Amino acid sequence: MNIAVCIKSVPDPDQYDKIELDPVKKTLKREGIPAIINNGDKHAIEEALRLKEKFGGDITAISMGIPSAKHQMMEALAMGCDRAYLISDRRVGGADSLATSYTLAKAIEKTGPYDLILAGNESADGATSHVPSQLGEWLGVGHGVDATSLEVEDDEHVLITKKFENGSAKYRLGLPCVIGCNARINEVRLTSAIAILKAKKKPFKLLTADDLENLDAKYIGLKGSPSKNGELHPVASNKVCTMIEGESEAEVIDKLYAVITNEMNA
Amino acid sequence: MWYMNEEREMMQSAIREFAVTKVRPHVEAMENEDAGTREILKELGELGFLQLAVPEKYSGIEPDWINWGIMMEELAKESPAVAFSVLCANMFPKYMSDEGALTDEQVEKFLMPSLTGEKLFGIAGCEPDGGAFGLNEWKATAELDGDEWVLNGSKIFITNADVVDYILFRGQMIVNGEKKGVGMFAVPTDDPGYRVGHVENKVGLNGSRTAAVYFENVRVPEINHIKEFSGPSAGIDIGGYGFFALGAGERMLEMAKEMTKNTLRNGVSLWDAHESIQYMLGSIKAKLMNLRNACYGYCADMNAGNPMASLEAFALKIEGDKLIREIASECIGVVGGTGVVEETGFARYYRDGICMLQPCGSDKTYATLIGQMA
Repeated sequence: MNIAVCIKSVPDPDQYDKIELDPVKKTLKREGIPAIINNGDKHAIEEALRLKEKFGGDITAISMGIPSAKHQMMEALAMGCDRAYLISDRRVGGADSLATSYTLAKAIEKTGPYDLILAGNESADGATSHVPSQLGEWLGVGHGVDATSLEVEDDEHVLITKKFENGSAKYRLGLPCVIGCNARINEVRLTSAIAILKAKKKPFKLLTADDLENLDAKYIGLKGSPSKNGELHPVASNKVCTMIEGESEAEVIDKLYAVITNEMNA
Repeated sequence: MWYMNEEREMMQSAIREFAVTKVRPHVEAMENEDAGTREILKELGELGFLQLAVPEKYSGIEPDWINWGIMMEELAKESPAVAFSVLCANMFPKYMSDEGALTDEQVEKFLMPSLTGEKLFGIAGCEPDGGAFGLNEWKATAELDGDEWVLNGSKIFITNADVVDYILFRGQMIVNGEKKGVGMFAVPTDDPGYRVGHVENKVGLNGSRTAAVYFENVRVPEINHIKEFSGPSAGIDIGGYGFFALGAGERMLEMAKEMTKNTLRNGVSLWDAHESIQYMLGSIKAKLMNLRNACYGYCADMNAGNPMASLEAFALKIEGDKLIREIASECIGVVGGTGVVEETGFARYYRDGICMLQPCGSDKTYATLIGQMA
């Protein structure tokens, strides 16, 4: 089973308190913040590894990012991916989720074919959850998101489970398809020292826009991004403690409920 | 840092994750129940971390002592006891992978399983008479009887005695009534003649279990007769003690800084209110910076095959012992009363440091060796 896993290099969420807002550009200043593989994508890699152990085949990690994202590609190889591609080109930069998914789809077409495409359901920084579905649409294949389990039913179908607040649903998708993996789908295994030391010998290739066939310039980069970021401003945090009192437990609960709903509607 | 590259950063992340997810949750059981490290050693072995400084012909990877140092440092941050247990368990694969140390059959039977943690090895040398290095005074014997060796004797202060799969018995060989020098023999710990006696109730290094062991007419074949430690790797990993102090010291400094920045007196943190605290923690940082360079310099010299590395290892043993206790003491002094509360964490590092004075030979032994060799 040949599997592609789309991964993203994101600022380490444990260092978010060090990220500052550029007061002029109203964007985040990420310099000096170490990058990691998006946590959801690690679960996607783990799922791919489990499928490979059961069914054979190989795993290709694909990402779009700045050149330093090569480090995350090496990590993906150390985790067990067999090869890695990083699309890095100013022409595809500044992309929103739609333009990103288009470029990734072109890379998948270029480097495939694949039986299955996995990705984390959302990224830690953008958290739109758009890319897996958009990828499926660009590729003209079925797609499912927020999968908390994945099983191969037969040579042509997979079953995924998606959990809701009040239950769960199972979906059957024909292969090839794109699945967005929820972090609850598995537990990511620890990386072995041997795998780290062998990672540098695995194939890694930097792709530019020129390497991707039939790439339509109107769908890439800023030009291909219909979403525009709104203004960012820091949230002021005031540590104020208000004691909620009442004659009874029920009264206190009602007052607390009113406070919460007022804050939500504010 | 000068010794880091992309690969070593990945190694550091991987071992840090292991230390946080596997070692940290085990520390309480180690402290309260003296729970051993068998599962941790096995998992480390499965992940390949016991092969970092072993020749490529056995491990399939290029050996790198700096990766080994990174592993020791990250483990020691969570638990010097675990780091010490790993140092001891890693001795056999490292020493026995030297050229000519083992026959091909012994490589197959003993070395290869030790690299992956499939079989864990401990070393039983120390005796009441002779200590760890007084080979001529040891009373344990290995007598040749036909094509088997019969082992008898008792040993003390044996690390990992009841968690390993093989224990390396070291004793006086006797052939036809004549003494033939000290030999070493691999004894499977499920042999009915091998017995773990009293497990010491130490003041520190809890969980790195230390016990008396007894060999009563243990019979082993010639294949289990292993050449005594004599290759270039034997003993040279004593430099690990420097990493115990480095890892523990960095963690204690981090804790002390956080506590002094978050403890307020009249609305001002201890850190901001007292330049003396900034001075004391700054001094600790300076010591750790020097120690870091010494530790990784030793690893770089090990990689280069520089003969100075053995003296550097001895020096790290001496300094590592001292620094871990010094830093624990100073941090406790800086944070005040909470420093002596067990749950705060400094006390454990202090007690582990005390216990590092003697294992593998005392500071005075190594200082004497440096004096003689330098």
